[in-house]
Amino acid sequence: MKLVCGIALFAFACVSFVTAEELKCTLKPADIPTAWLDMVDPCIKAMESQVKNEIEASMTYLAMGAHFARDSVNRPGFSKFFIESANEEREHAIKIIEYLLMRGQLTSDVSKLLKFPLRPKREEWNNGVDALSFALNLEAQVTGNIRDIIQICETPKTSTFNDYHLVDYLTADFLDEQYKGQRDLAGKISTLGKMMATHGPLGEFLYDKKLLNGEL
Amino acid sequence: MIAIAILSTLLVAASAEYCYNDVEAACSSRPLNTDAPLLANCNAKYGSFESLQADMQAYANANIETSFEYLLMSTHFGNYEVNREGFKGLYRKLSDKAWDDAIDVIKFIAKRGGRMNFNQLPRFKKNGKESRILELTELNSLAKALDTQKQLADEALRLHGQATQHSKQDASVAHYLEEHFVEKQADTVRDLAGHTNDLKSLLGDRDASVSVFLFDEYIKKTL
Repeated sequence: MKLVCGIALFAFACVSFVTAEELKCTLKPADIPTAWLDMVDPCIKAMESQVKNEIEASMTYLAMGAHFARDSVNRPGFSKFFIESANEEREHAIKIIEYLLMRGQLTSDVSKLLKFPLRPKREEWNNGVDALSFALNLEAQVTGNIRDIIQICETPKTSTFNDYHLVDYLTADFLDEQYKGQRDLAGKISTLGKMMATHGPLGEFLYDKKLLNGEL
Repeated sequence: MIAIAILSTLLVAASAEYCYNDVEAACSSRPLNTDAPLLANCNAKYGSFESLQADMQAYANANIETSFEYLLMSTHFGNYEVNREGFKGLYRKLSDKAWDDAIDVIKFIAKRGGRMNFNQLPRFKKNGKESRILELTELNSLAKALDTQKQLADEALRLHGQATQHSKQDASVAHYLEEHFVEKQADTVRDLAGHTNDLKSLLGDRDASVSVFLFDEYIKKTL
């Protein structure tokens, strides 16, 4: 009986101790004018969904990097190249997030920016040319997505607000990188494709070492 | 005597997996059994990696998932209403780390003759409904990060335990986990626990707004 009382007393003491030290976890929000928030809804939605696209591209490049690292595939140059691409795509997603934050967006529902689990579009490729071609098509898709966003943000259906700054940013920063990246991939497919047409495995072997040593 | 008998039966069983035998068969003039892939045993598999592979894949996926959760937590602290540069930077750093770790595990799997499987679900015990809410207050976010880091650390320890177990013994895996995860994870967990307790004692105030501002500034300097 004594023991029970002791426990009860202790529990009571604990409860009162906790309530006495309640934490103020949520701060009172400040009063911030909203007139500066000028992005329009369809444009915001398009930018937000681009985060998903870039991360999907990143995961697909990561799968390519993993594929070419396998012992039975053994193309360390390709693996390195695609893992770098995976990192770049992730950076692109972060750049878009940063832009939206700068424009006063993403104040709610950030958990909806990505859909978990994140999966690559494909996990196996036949050879280097196959993977580079897949990558080029992927980039073409991303370029198309960015052009769509530019269009939506320049002439949104719901308003007359032309988002000059965003359009300029996407054009100068993202499209520039897309077109240069696509040209690079197309050139690589061309060189490797020619070598592999006549010297299949040897062409791919040599090209892989060049990629690994950054000689291309 | 029994030991020798067991050893010799093991050797006989293992001889079927030799790369050399595959090469001899493939290079001989006798027709090949074309069902099997050419030189199937010329791979990097040895030790007990085969039985640890699925867990390693799951661990890579756990790091990927964690990385993107941190990225979204970081995003939340970067919006103009919340505006906490320190917390934003802290979770971005954790996101980058988890992403790099995921890539490293994938490379290790490939090194040991395995393959990455992005569909192998992480062995995470998510704590119920709050699991995917990432718009958190400062203290809530530290609590979530601490729990997450501890889960990752616990999983590394569990994997290490598997790799040192008699039936799955593989010192290469165990050493990899020790060197690349176990030690650093202890630091991260300790740091986050320290931050959480610091912030806890600052939030007792009737108005904690200045405390949180100063604490955020401090976090930014520690990055």
